[in-house]
Amino acid sequence: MIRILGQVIAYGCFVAVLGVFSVWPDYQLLDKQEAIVSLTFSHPAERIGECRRLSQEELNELPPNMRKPDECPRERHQVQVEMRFDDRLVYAETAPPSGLWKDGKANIYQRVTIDAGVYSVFIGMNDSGSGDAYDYQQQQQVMIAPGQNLVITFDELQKTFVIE
Amino acid sequence: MRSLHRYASDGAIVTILLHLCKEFSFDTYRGNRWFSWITGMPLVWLVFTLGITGYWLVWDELAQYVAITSAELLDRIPIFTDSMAANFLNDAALSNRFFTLMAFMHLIGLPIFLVFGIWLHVFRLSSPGINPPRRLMAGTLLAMLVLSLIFPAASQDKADLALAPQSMELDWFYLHVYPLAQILSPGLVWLLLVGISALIVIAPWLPRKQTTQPATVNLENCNGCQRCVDDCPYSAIQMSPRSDGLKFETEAVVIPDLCVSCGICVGACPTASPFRKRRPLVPGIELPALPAAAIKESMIAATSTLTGDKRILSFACRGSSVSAELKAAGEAFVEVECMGQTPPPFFDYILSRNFADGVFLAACDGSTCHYRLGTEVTQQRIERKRDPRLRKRIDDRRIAAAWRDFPEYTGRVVDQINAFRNSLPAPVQVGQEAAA
Repeated sequence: MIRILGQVIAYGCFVAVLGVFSVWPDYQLLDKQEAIVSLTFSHPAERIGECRRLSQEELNELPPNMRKPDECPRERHQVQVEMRFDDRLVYAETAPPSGLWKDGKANIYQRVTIDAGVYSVFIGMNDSGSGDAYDYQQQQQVMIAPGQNLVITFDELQKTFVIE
Repeated sequence: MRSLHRYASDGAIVTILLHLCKEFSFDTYRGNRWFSWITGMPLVWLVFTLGITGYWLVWDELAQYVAITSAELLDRIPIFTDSMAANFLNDAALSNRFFTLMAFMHLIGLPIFLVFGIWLHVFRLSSPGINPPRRLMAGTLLAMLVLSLIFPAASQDKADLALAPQSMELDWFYLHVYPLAQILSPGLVWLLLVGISALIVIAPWLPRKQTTQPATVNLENCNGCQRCVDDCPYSAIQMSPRSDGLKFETEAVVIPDLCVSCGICVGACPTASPFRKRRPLVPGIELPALPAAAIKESMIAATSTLTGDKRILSFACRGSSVSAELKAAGEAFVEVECMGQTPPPFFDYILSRNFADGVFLAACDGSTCHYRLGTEVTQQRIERKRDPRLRKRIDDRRIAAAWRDFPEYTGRVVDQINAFRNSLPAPVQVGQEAAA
C-alpha cells in the first residue's frame, strides 16, 4: 500500500512540475502602455568610388566574355541610421556592408520598446559616407497604440522610408 | 492528444536533464566513455530545436514571439545575408511556404537527425537500454493522461504581427533562453549557450583525469569461446583469427580505446576459476588493476576471520555505497571492480571448500551501476541462465543477491545480510577440505 501511495506521489510530483512550468509564471514582454517599434531594412550603400568607363583599348585586352564597359569598385560605404521620437534619439547605428568583399547590403534590424502615444518620428540614413548629412530622411506624425508593432522599413524602389 | 504531446515533450527535457546529471554525478562520462558523453550534446540541441519548431507551427501569440526571437538570435550568426527577423514584420510577409518548411523540419528533418544521433549516442554500447521498463512507461503515460485531462494545453491568442504580445504563458522547459535574449542580448545568449555546451563537451578531459588499465588477453589461457565478447557492455572485445598457433579458431582481442575496465569479461571467462591447479591463477582475459588471483586471495583472507555456523562472505563493487556500508558494519566482504567481474566458480569455491556458509552479493542495479549490465549478467549466471553458470551442486539457499532496484531490497544491506544469515540452512557437511 505504501509502495503504491509512494508511486502515486512520485508520478504526481513529476507531472505537477511539467504542468506548472509549461505555462507558469507568465512572461511579461511589455507593460500595458508600451508598444514596439521595429526598424528593419537591408540596403546597399553607395560604392566607395566612382565607376570608370574603360577605353576601347582596355576592353580589347579583356577576354570577350568579361568586356563590361564600366569598372566599378566592389566595396560599399557603411550605412548610418538615426531614429528620433520627438527629437529624442532612440536609435543610432552604423551597419557595415555584408560579404567578404564588403560589397553586400547593410542590414538594419532593431526593435525598440516605447510608450504608446503621439510622436513626431524622424528617421534618417546616410549611405554615401558624406559626413553628417542624410541621404534619405523622413519625418512623420504617428499615433502608437498600446501593444502595437509599428514597422519602419525602407522602400528600395521609391527610395523612401515607410512608416506603418 | 495535443496536451499529451506537449507534456511528453516537456517530460523529455526533464528526463534528458536528469540523465545528464546522473551520468555526471556517477562519474560515468570520462575515460573511454567520452564518446557517448559528447554525442549526447548535439542531441540536446536537436531536441530543443525540435520543441521550438513545434511551437512555431501553432502560430499563436507564443509562436509569434518564438519566431521573432528565434530569428533575432539567428540573425546574430554572421552567415545570413538578409535579416531573418525581417520576414516577420507583417502578416503579408509570411507565406505558407514558411509553415511547410517548419512542418518538414518538425516532422521529418529533425526527427531523422535525432534518430541518427541516438544511434550514434549508443553506438559504443552493447545491448543499449532504449526503452524504459514497461511499468514505468505505463505509469508515466497514465499520469500524463490525467494531467492532460485536468490541465489541457491550449493555444494562446492568434498571432498578429501588427501587434506586440504584452504577456504570455511561456513553456519554461523549452523557451527559458528567449527572455534571456531580451534581458541580455542575442550575442550574449549565444556565448552562454555555446560556452556551456563546450564546457560540457570537454568535461571528460578536465581534471581529475580518469585513467584505467584496459583488460588484457592471456592467449595461452584463451580458448576463443567468445563469452567475453557477448558480455562486454561496451563492445570493447572482438574475436580475431588465432595468432599463436593453438588449435582454437579465434582469440579475444581487447580494443583499449573502448574498454572501461569493468572486468565483466573476466567474470565471463571459463578459465577464471579458482579450482584450477595451474599456478598462478591467470584467466584468458584479465583486469590488470584487480587480477582474479588477487580476488581469490582477498576471499580467503576475508573468510579467515569468520566463525560460527552461519558465516557469510559478501561481495561488493569497489567504491560503492554498499562497500562503505559493509566496511562500517565490519562485515567480511570482498571488493571487486564490478559485480560481474566475479565468475560463479568463485562463489562455488567459497561454499564447496567450506570457507563460508553463504555468499551474499550486493550491488547497484543496471540503471545506477557505475558500469553497465554487471548485476544483470551476474543474476543470470547464478540463476544458471547464462554462461558461466553456477554449478548445480550449490544449494540456491546459500547464495543471495541484493540489487538496489529489486523489490527484495527494502533497506540497509547489513539488514539484508542478517536476514539471509537467519535463513541459511543447516551447516554444510563436515569433511570438505578447506584449501588455500
